[in-house]
Amino acid sequence: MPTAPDAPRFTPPLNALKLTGIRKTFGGTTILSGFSLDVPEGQRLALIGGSGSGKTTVLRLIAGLERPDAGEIELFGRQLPYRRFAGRLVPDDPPEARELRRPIGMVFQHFNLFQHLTALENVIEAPIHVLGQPPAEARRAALALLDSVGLADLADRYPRQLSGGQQQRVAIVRALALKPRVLLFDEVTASLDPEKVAEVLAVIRRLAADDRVTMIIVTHEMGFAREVADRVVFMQRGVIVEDAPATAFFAAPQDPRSRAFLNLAS
Amino acid sequence: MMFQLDYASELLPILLKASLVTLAATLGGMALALVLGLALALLRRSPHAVLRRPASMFVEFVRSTPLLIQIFFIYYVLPLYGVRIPTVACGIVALGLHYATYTAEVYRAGIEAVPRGQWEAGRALSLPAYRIWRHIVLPQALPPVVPALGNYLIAMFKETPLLAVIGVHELLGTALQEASQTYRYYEPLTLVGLIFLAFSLVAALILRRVEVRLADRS
Repeated sequence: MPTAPDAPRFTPPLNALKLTGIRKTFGGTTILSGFSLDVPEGQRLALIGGSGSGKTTVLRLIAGLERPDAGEIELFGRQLPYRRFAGRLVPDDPPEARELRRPIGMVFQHFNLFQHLTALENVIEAPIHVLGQPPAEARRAALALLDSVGLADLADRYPRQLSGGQQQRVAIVRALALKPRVLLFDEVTASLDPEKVAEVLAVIRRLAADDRVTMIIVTHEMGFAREVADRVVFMQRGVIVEDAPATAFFAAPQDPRSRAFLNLAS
Repeated sequence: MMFQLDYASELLPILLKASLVTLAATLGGMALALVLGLALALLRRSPHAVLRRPASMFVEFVRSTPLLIQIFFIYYVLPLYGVRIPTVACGIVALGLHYATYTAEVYRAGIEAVPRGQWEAGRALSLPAYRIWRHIVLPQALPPVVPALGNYLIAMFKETPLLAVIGVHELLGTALQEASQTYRYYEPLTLVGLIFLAFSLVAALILRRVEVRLADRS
C-alpha cells in the first residue's frame, strides 16, 4: 500500500551504531563473547576499562580493521557487510562496502601518519582519492583544517619532523577531512609525552563542543572522559560492567569493579 | 707460454662487442626479475589460496633447481610447445624467472617492514586496496630494499656466462669461440675476466651512490 507523501511517519531515534552479539576470539583467547552496544547519533561515549578489557577491539571491529567471529554491526541502520569465505567472515571490500564504512573516521594511538607524505599530503589523500575532490579544493580545505589546529605553518613537514602532539593533531585533521559522522579515538594520548597531551585533548574537546559527530573515545584520561563524554561504558574482560551517564558514573559508580577501577585510575 | 698483447688487442673489440650482449641479457633479465618478483611477492600475500599457493610453489620449485638446468629447459622444451623465441630471449627469460624468485623475497622483506598501522590508517580512510598498495605501502617498502635488489643485479650479471651453453654470443661464448680457432685460451679468458671486473666495479660504485642518496632522503 503506497503511503501518502504527507502521512506522518514513525521514525525511531536513529542509532549511529548498533553492535549485536559480537563474538571475537584471537588465537584461542576470547576477547568478546556476545557484546552488544547501541550508540545514538551525536553521543560522546567514553569506553573505559583496563588493558585486555576488549575496548580497543570494539573500536577496531567498528572501523573494519577486525572482523567479528559472529554478530552484527549496524551503522545508521545499515548492516556492515561481511562475506563468508571458507567458513570465516572476511571484510567485504568492493566499493559499495567501503562506501558504507566511509562515515567512520578513526584516530590511532600511534598516529599512523603516512611516513612518506607531508602533513598536507596525508590530509588530502583520502578527500582526493575517496571523495573525488579536485586537488586544489582538497588542499584549500586541508589547509583550513590544519590552520584550525594551529598547524598551517607545518603543512609541508614530514611526520618525522613533527612532535608526537603535532602528528596526532595532523591525524585528527586527516580523519576530519572525510567529514566523518562517527569518530573513533583509540587511546590517542597514550603514546604522547605528558606535556603534549593537553594540546591534543584541546582539539578533541573543541570538536566535541561544536560538531554533531558521534564519538567513541577509548581513553585512560579519566578527567578528560568526565569532561567530554556524556555516557560512560566500563568494560572488563569483554563484558560491559557498567553503562551510565558520565556525570552519574563519575559521581557514584554503581558496580564495585567500576569503583575499584576509578580509584586506581585517579 | 706468455700473454700475447697483440692477440689480446685484436680480441678486445670483439669481446667488447660481445659484452653488449651480456649487458642486454643482464638488463633484460633484471627488468623481468624486478617485475615478476614483485608480482610473485604480491601473489604470495593474496588472501586467496588459489593465487597464493601456485606462487609459493613456483618460488620453491625454481629456487630448488639449478639455473643451468632451467636455461636448458627453456631453450629445448619451450619450442616443443610452439614457443619460438631467439636464443638471447631464452636466456633473458631464464635469468628473469630464476632471479624473480629471489627478488620476490627481497620485496617481501620490504613489504613486511612497513608497519601495520600504515595499512590500518589507509583502511580507516576507506582508501581502495590498490591505492593503499600503490601509494602507501610500496613507496615505503621499496626504497629500503633497493640495495638488496642491486646486489642481485650484480649477481645475475656474473651468471650470464651460463648462457654460453645454449649458444648466446655473450662474453664467455664469444671468447670460447675465438679460442677454439686459435687454441689460445689465456688471452680471451683473461680479457673476459677483466671486462667482468670492470663492469662489476662500476655497478658497485653506482649502487653505492644510490644507497647514499637513499640514506640521505630518509
